[in-house]
Amino acid sequence: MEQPSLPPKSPSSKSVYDLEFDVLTHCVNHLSLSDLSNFARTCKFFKSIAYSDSVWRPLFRNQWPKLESSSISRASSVRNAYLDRHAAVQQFKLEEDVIEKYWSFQGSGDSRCLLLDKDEIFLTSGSMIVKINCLSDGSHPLVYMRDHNAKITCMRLFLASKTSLFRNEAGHKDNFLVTSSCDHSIRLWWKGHCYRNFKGHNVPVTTLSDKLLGEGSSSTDNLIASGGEDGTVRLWSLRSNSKRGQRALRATLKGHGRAIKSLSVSGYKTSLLVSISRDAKIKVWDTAASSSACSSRCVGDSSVNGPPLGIKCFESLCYVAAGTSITAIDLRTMEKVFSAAAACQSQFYSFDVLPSKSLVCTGGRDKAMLWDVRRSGTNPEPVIEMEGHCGPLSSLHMDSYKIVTGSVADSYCNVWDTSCGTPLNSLPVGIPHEPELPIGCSAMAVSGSRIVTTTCGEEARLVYLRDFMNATCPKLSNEDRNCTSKFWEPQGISDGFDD
Amino acid sequence: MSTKKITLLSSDREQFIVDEAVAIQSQTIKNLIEDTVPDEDGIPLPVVHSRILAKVTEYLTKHANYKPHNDAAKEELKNWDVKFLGKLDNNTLFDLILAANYLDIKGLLDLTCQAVADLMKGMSVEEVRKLFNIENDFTPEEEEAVRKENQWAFD
Repeated sequence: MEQPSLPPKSPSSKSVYDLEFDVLTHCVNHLSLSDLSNFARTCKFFKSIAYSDSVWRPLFRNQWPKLESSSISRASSVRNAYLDRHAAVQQFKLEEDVIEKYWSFQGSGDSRCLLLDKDEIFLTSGSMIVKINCLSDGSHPLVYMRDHNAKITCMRLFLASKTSLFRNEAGHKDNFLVTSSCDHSIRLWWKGHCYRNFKGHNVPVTTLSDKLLGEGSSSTDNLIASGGEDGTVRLWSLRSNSKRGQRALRATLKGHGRAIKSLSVSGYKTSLLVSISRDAKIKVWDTAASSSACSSRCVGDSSVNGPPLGIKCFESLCYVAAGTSITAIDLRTMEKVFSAAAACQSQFYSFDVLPSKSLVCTGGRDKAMLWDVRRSGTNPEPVIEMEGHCGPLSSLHMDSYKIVTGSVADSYCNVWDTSCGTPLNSLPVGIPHEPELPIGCSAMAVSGSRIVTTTCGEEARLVYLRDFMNATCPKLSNEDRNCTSKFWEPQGISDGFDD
Repeated sequence: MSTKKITLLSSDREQFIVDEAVAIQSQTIKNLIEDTVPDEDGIPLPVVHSRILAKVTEYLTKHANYKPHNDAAKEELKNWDVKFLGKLDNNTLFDLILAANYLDIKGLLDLTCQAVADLMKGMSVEEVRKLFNIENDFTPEEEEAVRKENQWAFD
C-alpha cells in the first residue's frame, strides 16, 4: 500500500501512521461533504480516514445536535448512522416532529407556478405573486407583488451570484425571481420588489428558460430566454442598467410557427438553447453565434408527436415529454437516443429527470412510470410502475432518494423510493384534522428534506410546508408492516424484539 | 514580562533561543522543561527540522507577544496569520502541521489544518492525489464502489 508522502522525520512516541491519521483527521474535519467524498476516493488510506468515526461524529452533531447518541448507537459506524439518517430525512420516511406550517389566502388555485427557496415560498394567483416568509412566526408572513397586469405564465429562481446584477449588494448569494406574463412583459424581482421590467414581446409571454444562458462561462453578460405566443424566442441581457429594461433585448429568434411551450438551456454548452413549440417542433439555437441574421442561429431541428409537455436538458441530452411519449435527444448529433411510449396510450401530465442515474419519471392518468434511458431498443418498458392515484398525476418530483407524485384529483401526495418504487409515505395536502374536503393538489415543490404543496380551489388556497430535517420515528411503509406482522410472534418480545 | 530564555534544538542541531513565555505555548516543550534536565545545547526536538522550527518560533513569538484585547487587534492577528500562511509552500505547510501536532500547539495546528482543507476545497479526486503525492491503490472495481458510495454527497 502506498503511503502518503508526509515526511516522517525521525522516530517519535507515535508511529508515523498514527500521526498522519490524527493530523489528517484534523484537516478533514474542516472539509465540506463533497470535498470529503473526493478525499475518500483518492486511496485506501485516505478512505479509512474519511470514513472514520472521529470525522463523522462532529458532522452528525452539527446536523442533528439532539439526536446524536440514540441514532449512532444502533449503527455499525457513525458514517452509516449519518447516511441512514440522511436517507430517511430525504425520503420523508419519518412520522414525528415533522415541522409543519400552513398558510391560506384568497386566490384561485388554477396556477401551477410554485417555487421553494431557502426561506421563502413563491406562488402565483392570476396576475399576482405571493411571497411567503417561512421563518416568520409573527404577522404578515405573506407579501403580495401585484405589478403584473395579466396572468403569470412562468416563474423561475436564479442565483444572484451567477450574474453581475447584484454583485455589490448584501445577499448576492440569494436567489432572484423572474416571471413572465400574459401582459407581454417579463419582470425581475429582488427582495420583494420589481427590479427590472423587460418589454419587447408584443404578445403574451408563455415561458422562460430554466437556466441562464452563458452560465459558468467567462462572460458576465448572462442572458435569460423567453418564449412568446407568436413563436418568437427572445434573449434578454440581465446586465442592462435601465430600470425599465430598455436595450436589454439582445436578440429575437424566429423560426417557430406556433407558441413556445418550453425552453431549456443545454448542460454541456451553456450557450445552447433548446425550444419546443405547441406543434411539438424542437429547435436548438446557438446564442453565442455572432451572426446577426436571426434564423442562422438555429443549429438543430427535430420534432416529436403529440402535445408537448416540456423539455429538460442535462449534459448533452435533451429530454422531451409530449403526448404519450418520452424522448431523449443527443444535442451533439440531434439523434434520438431513447424513445418510449406509455403502453395504454395514457397521456403524460408531468415528468422529471434524474440524469445521474439515467432515469426519467413520467406521470400518467393514474400512475407514475420510471424509465431507464440506457435501455434503448424499439419498445422499452418502464422499469417500475407506481400506482396509487385516482386522477392525472399533474405534479411530479424526482431526486436520487424519492419520487413524489401529486394529482389535482387527490387530497394527498405519495412518496416512493426511487431505487425500487416502494411507497414510503403519503402526505395530505389539506388542513390537518379538518373534515376531509374534496380538494386536490394543484402544485408541489420539493427541495431535499422539504416539500410544499398547494390546494386547488376557486376561493381559498392552502399552502402547506413540511420539513423532515429534524423529524424522528421511522414511518413503516405497508410492506414493512406486512413484513413485521408476518414474522411477529408474541413470544418474540422477550427475545430482544427491536424495531 | 518573563525574560528567562529557552534554547530549542532542531533535528539538524541548530539552536533557537526564545523567551520561555514564547516556548511554553507548546504543551510538549512545556512538559519537556518541567520533566527533563536539558542538555547543555538546549531542549532537543528531534522531529523538527530547523527550517520548520524557524517558522514555528516565528508563529509562537507573534502569538505570545500579541494578546488581542479588542476586535481590531484580533483582526490584526488574523491578518498576520493569513500572511504567515501565504508565504508557505505546500511541503512546508505539511511539515508545519506535523510539527504543530508533535509540539502540541493547538492554535497553529488548527490554522494549518484549515489551510490544507482550504487547499482541497473544490478539488477533483485526481487533484487531491497530486496535492498529497499519493498513488491510487484501488482496483478498478474498488474505485467504482467507493465512487458510488460517495455519489450521494453531490446529488
